[in-house]
Amino acid sequence: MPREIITLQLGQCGNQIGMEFWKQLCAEHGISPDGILQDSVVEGLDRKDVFFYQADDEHYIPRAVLLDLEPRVINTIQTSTYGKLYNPENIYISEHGGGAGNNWGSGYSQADKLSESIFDILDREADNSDSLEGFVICHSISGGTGSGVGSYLLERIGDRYPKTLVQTYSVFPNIGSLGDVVVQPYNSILTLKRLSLNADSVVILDNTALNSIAAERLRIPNPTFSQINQLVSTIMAASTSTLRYPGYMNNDLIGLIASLIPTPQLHFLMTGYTPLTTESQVASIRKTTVLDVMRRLLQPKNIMVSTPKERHEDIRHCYISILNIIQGEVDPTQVHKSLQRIRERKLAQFIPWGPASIQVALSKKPPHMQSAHRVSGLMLANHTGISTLFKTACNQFDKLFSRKAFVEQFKKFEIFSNDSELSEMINSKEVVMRLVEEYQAATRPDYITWDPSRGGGSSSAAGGLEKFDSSRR
Amino acid sequence: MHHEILLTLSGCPGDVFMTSRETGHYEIIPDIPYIHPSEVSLINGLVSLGSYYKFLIDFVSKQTSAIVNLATPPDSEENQSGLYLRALGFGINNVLEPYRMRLVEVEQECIADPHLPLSHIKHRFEQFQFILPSLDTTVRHIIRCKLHGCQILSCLYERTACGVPSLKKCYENLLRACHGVLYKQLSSWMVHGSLKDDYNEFFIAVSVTPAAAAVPAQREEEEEEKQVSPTLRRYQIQHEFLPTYIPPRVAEKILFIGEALQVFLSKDPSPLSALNTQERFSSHSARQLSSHQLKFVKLLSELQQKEEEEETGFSLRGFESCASQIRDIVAEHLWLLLVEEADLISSLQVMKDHYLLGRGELFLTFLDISSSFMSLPPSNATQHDANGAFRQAMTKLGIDNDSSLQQFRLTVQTPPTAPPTSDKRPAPVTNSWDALGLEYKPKWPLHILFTPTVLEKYNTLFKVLLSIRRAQMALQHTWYLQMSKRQRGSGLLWQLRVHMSFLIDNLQYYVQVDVLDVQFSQLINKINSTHDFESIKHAHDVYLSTLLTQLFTRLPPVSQGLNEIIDLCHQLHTLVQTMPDPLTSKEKSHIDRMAKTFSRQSSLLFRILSNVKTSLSSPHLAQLLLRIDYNKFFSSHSSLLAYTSSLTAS
Repeated sequence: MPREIITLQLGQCGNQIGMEFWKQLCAEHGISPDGILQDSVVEGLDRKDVFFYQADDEHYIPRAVLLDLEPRVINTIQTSTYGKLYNPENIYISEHGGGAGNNWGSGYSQADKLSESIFDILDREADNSDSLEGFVICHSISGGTGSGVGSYLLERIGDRYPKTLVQTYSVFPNIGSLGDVVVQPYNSILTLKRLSLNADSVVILDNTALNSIAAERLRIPNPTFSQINQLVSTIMAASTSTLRYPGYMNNDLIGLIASLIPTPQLHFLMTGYTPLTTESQVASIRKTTVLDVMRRLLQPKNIMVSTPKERHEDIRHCYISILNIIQGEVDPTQVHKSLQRIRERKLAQFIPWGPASIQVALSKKPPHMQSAHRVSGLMLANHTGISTLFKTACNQFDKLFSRKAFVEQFKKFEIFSNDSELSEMINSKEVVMRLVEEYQAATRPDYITWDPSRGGGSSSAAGGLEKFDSSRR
Repeated sequence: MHHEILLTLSGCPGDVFMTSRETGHYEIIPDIPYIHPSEVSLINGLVSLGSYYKFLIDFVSKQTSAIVNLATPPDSEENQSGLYLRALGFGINNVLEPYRMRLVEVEQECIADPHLPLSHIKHRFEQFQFILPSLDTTVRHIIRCKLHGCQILSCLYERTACGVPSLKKCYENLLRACHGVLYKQLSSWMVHGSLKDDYNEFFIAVSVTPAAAAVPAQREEEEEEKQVSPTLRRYQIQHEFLPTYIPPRVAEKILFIGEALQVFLSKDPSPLSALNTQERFSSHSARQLSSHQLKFVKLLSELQQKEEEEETGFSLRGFESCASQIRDIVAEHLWLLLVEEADLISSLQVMKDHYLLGRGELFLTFLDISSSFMSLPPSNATQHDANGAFRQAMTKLGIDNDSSLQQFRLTVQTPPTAPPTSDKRPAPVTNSWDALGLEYKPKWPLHILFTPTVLEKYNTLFKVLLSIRRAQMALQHTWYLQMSKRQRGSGLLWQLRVHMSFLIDNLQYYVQVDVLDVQFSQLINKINSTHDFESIKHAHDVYLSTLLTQLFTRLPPVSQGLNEIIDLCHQLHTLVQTMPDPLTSKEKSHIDRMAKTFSRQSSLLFRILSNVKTSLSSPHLAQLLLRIDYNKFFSSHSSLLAYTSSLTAS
């Protein structure tokens, strides 16, 4: 079946959001938790084959690989009602079972040791597809497994499966609370380097924003993981809806992301969703027109990334590209009017160096889902403001790294073994800083002539870039 | 002498009377000594009636004799014949009846009184001095001008507009006689949907396609064809046969009624089942309609009776309201048949899914599979391969068991092999894409909506949309190639791609959202809000023509500009696929040229759009413009030079 997408769920966070994602997909396609198609489902209206395949006994099985270095979360999944959904051969828990100790280095080197078994699973899944389009990786960048194993796979997948795309759904840590993971800034920067250099598109899910949305928009004082993950799964399901429901546009992953990403580095996307609800709460009925949906999508409170105000006033952050996917019964004549209104009111600031617009795709609503809302909208946007997130990560990294705090925990792993200066960390930070610079340059009219090698990045960073270029080719 | 005159008046001149060489009328032979010259002119004036009578009665006998009519081939040059002429003959015969009565009366008077003066006879025949010459002129006119069928009606109708009451009455009678035939034909057409017109007299006829006209049509063949494929028949109004007093709008209604009835009948054209009205109609709505047939018959016969009884002449109002009533009933049933039984809306959706690329994933898969052979010039095998790929794409998506899809077939027009003598070689065809078309076989009864002309329009749209889609895919692949190199590389190159993608993506969104979705939802609303077939047809025609307009197929400067841009997109794709790393100066200059051409074309397009959009007649241009100039990048770089320099600066 054409244009399949394999989902990789890495680590505690990745598996949790992955599980919610599959729950959501099953509900939308009318597949029961054990993989059986419900009787009421009319065939031919959707394309289950992108994310699922059918076993010999007609069971629908997700094209998902579940991977963790400790068994806790995956065990929960296996004992849940959805436990029978997955192909048990695709569930991989490291025999060591001790986890990655929230250490990127541990995750990365364990992945290196386990790579054969992991790629065995991936190869089998890839062979099972007709024309594999790409991989979707769900992970968090702050822990050990998701960040470390994720980084390792990002570096290898491109070589192993040429002609495929790699998209990630990356959960960024909550800035406010460093929490129990003190080395979180190291993990983040090391992972960000791979996301910047090896992923084709990264959808950022910012825990800070997700928490504040849960608290302020959904009025949940202390949101649980599962409530947050429901938000995430909604985003993931909506952003893949054009792949799963036949429509006139964005029928494949490349069609979805190519128009959003102008240059290789600027591939970090933020998302917005409206209306926001959780299962426990049915929102008061609101009037939902296309304009309402599009306007709300541009409001920061509906966006899943928190972008603190830049301190330098000379940087005016702007949208590079926007894609709105609107699901439900809408009057298509409203689309044009809404676009007009948004432009008149200057609700969105765009780049000065090239043409940009809001692209609006109308998509069918999942036929098997009951929803309180007539219309819902998802925004996928490339916004230069996302660089503030990377900048914050860099600052936190600097705070630790200037004191060389906790670096001993990393030095014991192979990748840092011949690296007493910790050049891998320095290099990673430079890559991320250059990403920040490129995003800042993209706010200026002369971005066209901006040269990455001259743009303030040091020479060692450029060297790192070339090194990874060659590995990629 | 009186008897000679009376005989001459009845059309039998004796020896005393002869046909004048000058006037063609009977006149008394000259030089009879005992007749005074004043009497001569009196007699001549009287007996000329005889010659008119003779002419008319000859016409009558010729037209009304059964043997002559049936034996004569209807379209022979010499002998005019036809039902209307025949009816006219009978009509004239009736009109002449008083004349013959008068002859008998006068003869008795003569016998009773041998000294009856000539002036008495003249007086007795005075009233016919109006009628007979006028009838004579009319009949001669009909014969001379070879008036045929319904044309006779117009001729007679013109003459009813006469101030002389007797003459007016006479023509009204004749018209009524001929209307007998008209009503017969109308009722067979409007009640049973069959065209009973052996002499080609009716104002509705089978429309002759140019191809069919080229072949000398044999009647037998036509007859045969009628039996084999009645569904393919199209009818048209023959305006030269349309009586002048029936306005074209009424004629259109009548045409529609018959055509619509044919649709109901066409499923089972065998004559056997035609005998049984219940089984003749296959569908539910058709059966419902058949219950209305009696009503139609009643309406028509009432109309005819009214005209006969009240002797008010032809009433257009009554005629039109009758036609309208029947039309409305038929149109509603046709609507029922199409929308409720044939599920028109889902068929329209299917058309949109395929001709208008609504099923993006199907064409995505198809383009993937077929790109290898479609990039070669078309050959005889290309069409077969393309269809194979199309079916394969359907199978891959698991929609191959969908029966409506089997009605689609791809066509690849192989270029006609040019005769070796011709100097002008056709432009070299480099790929098969331009020759690719889509064919659809509409099922009964949807063929009345999806006519070949309509499908031709769909096909035009299909070609435009497919070319945009292909350009988009080429650019996406270019994106992938550039992306996988992980370097911005030549700034100009990626910038060129960004601009191209932007333009093509937004064009695509404009086409699919602003045009197709909007127009389609309007069409569906229209269909749901009406109960009349013809408004559906009209709405569908408007839909198609709006699409054609809004996709710029009718605005050559824009469509040419778009085509060139699409062409450049493919060029860029080819270049990025094949270019060496690092770039040679040759490639660099190629990129440079492409960038210049692209910026020229796109700013030209932009200027055309911004110039034309001011006119209110084309709001769709403003819609496209809004999309491509959303952040006012184009308008701030609107001067050609500024845009070019911004694009080439690197």
